[in-house]
Order: sequence, then C-alpha cells, then structure tokens
Amino acid sequence: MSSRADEKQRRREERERREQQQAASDTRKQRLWLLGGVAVAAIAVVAVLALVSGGDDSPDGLGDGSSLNAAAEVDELFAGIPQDGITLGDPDAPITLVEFADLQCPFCAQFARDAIPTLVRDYVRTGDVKMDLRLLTFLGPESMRAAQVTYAAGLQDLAWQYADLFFNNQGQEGSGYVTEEFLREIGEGVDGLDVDAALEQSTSAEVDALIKRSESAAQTLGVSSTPSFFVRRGEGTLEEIQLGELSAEAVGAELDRLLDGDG
Amino acid sequence: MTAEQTAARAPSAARPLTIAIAVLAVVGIGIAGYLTYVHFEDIEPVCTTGGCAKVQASEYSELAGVPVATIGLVGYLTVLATLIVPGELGRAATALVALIGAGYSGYLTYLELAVIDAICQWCVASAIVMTLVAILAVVRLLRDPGGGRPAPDGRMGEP
Repeated sequence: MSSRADEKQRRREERERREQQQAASDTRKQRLWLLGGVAVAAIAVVAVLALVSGGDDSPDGLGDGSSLNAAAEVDELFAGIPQDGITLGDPDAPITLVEFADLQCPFCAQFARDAIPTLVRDYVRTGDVKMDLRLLTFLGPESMRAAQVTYAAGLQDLAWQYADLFFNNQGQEGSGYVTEEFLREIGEGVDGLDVDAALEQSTSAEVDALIKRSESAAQTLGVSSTPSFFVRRGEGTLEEIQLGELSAEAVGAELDRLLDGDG
Repeated sequence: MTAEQTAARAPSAARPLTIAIAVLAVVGIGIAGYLTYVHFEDIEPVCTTGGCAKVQASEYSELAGVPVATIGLVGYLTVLATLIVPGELGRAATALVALIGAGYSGYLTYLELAVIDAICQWCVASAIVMTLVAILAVVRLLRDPGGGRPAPDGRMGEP
C-alpha cells in the first residue's frame, strides 16, 4: 500500500515538475518574442532617427538643407557695422587689414570661425580697423562660382556675411558640394540679401571685374597661399603679416603694433 | 498572501541588475548633462582626443534642432524612469529605450569615424555606457524574476 502511495506521490511530483518546466519554457519563449519585438521597434526608431539627422549622401555641409550652421551668429556678428562692397568697417578707420582667401580653403574657414569674430568685435566694431576681403580661386571652378556669388552679395553690401556663412558651412574641397542649390541656401541664410538678384549678378561684368582685381592684386603682392594677410595705415603701402599661427591674437598683435604707431 | 510573496520576490531578485543599470544611467546623465551644458554655453568641452569641438559643431550634433546631447540626457532619464515601472512592461520599456539609445549612439560613433572624421571622447564614453545599459536591460528582460529559477506560475508557495 505504502509503495502504491509512494508511486502516486512520485508521479504527481514528476507531473508537477514537467508542468513547471513547461511553464518555464513557455515564459522563456514569450520573453524571447517580447525581446524580438522590442529589438525590431528599436531598430525602426534608430532608422528613423538616422534619416532625420541629416545623414543623406550629399557631400555638402548642409545635410538635408534644413539647418545652416551659425546663420544667427553671423548675422549678429556683423549687425550694424558699415559695409561697402568688399570692405567691412568704418571707412575712416586708420588701419586696413586685407585678407586674401579662397572660399574652399579649410584654413580660411578655420580662421573665419576662430579668429574673425574676435577681430570684428575688438578692432572693426571699435572703428580702429576696416577689413577688405579679396577672394581668390586657387582651388578650381567651385571656388570661382563661390567667389562670384560672394562678390555679387557684396554689391548689396553683404559680402562678409555671405563669405562667413559659407565658411561656417564649408564642405570637402572639390567634392562638388558648391552647387547652385548650396549657394542659394547660403544666400537665404544671410539676413536681408536678395538671393535672386545676387545669383543673377554673380555672372555680371561688374563681379568679373572685382574678381580680376583681386587676382591682379594677389599677383602684384606675391600671394601664393590662402589665407594671406596684409595691413596698411591710412593710404600707405600694404605690408604682409607673417603669422606664426592663424589666430586672432597673432593678427591682433600686428594691428596693435600699427595702432600704437610702431608701424 | 502567495501573490504578495511572489511580487515581493521579483524585485529583490532582479535588484542587482536594476541597481547596475541605474548606476550606469546616472553616469550617462553626467556625460550627457556636461555635453548639453557646453552646447548651450557655447564653450569647448574638455577634450583629449582633439575632436570634441568639431563633433559638437557638426550638423549631426543636432536632431531636428535639438542637441543630441540633450536627447541622450532625456534617454538616460527615461531609462531611470522605466526602472521604477514594475513587471515585464517596465523591463521591456527599459530594454526598448536602452536599445534605441545604443543603436543611435552606434550610428553617431560611425558618423564620427566615417563622416565627421573626428572623435569626441565624451560621445564615445556615452555610447559605451548606453551599450552596457542595453546589454544589462536585455539580460534583465530575459531573466526570470527569481534570478534564473523557473518563473512563479501562481502555484508557487501553495502547499
């Protein structure tokens, strides 16, 4: 009798163990399905995020074109400073700083981002210095097209904003990013610029003459690389600044020297 | 009382994983919080890899106008919040948020290497933290509340 009871007990335990194992197995399966669902949902969300974050294959620095870098900063930097063509600052400023730049040159862009804001705030806005922007086209047809539109913006006295915004959104040199669409987007980021007019005038004889003037000035002064900087006091002759480093401090030291009358 | 006992067992058994995730999330909040701060203060982050400012200034540093550092911060806070939600729903939510975070961090790390061509140590650190959170969250989701023992099926504790 006892052995039958034992056997019954053993079978019941066996059945309970099997049921428990089955339940555990069901739970595991259920969780794996749940994990699968979670993983699929996560992949879908990441894919959407990647698409939204401007990861298109265009080689420009604008991504999906929805976000220009630094448009507000550029607007603020130059706001209220007189501008005439390629010249930024008070026409009566005692010192002139001339920058030769190529819009595709990465060091020019670096200088625009790191040094120009300080120089504009500390020297141009104070009326001590005016700055001339001479654009060169060393780096090919894309540089030429960019220079044309910048000078055309200069006809509306907005060349510095256009160039600065271009530098802040500069792409890989010679990669084909300087499309008409890119040039238009930069223009649309410049507060107050009539973009249609600028694009139309970019191939005008007036703009062409400005580019030729920059090229001949560069030739006369022996400019072989960009960015290159020259200074002069009043209507004196331009002298090249030899910079140990491309920084606002280095250029500022030269400007201070001239302002102190040592030049 | 059985159900209460069972309910009481589950959180205590899963606690080491939950605590580990919470600690990692707090570390992540520190990193993402710092990057959010430098973004809005417009200052350069402390950087030994030299590429942090370039990464921060790139077009990919924002998603629909929101800094990705801020999105990361919200992600870590959401991970912490889901840890409070009890049961399978809470564990699934933690895993979902962490997997999205890890996947997106992985994508951003790829962009740093392949597109932006600069490495931001803070971003990589955050990607590693989020990946660890995701691994632990998946383990936590798969593991039984009883720490690997069969799941309580309602009959547990019955005579």
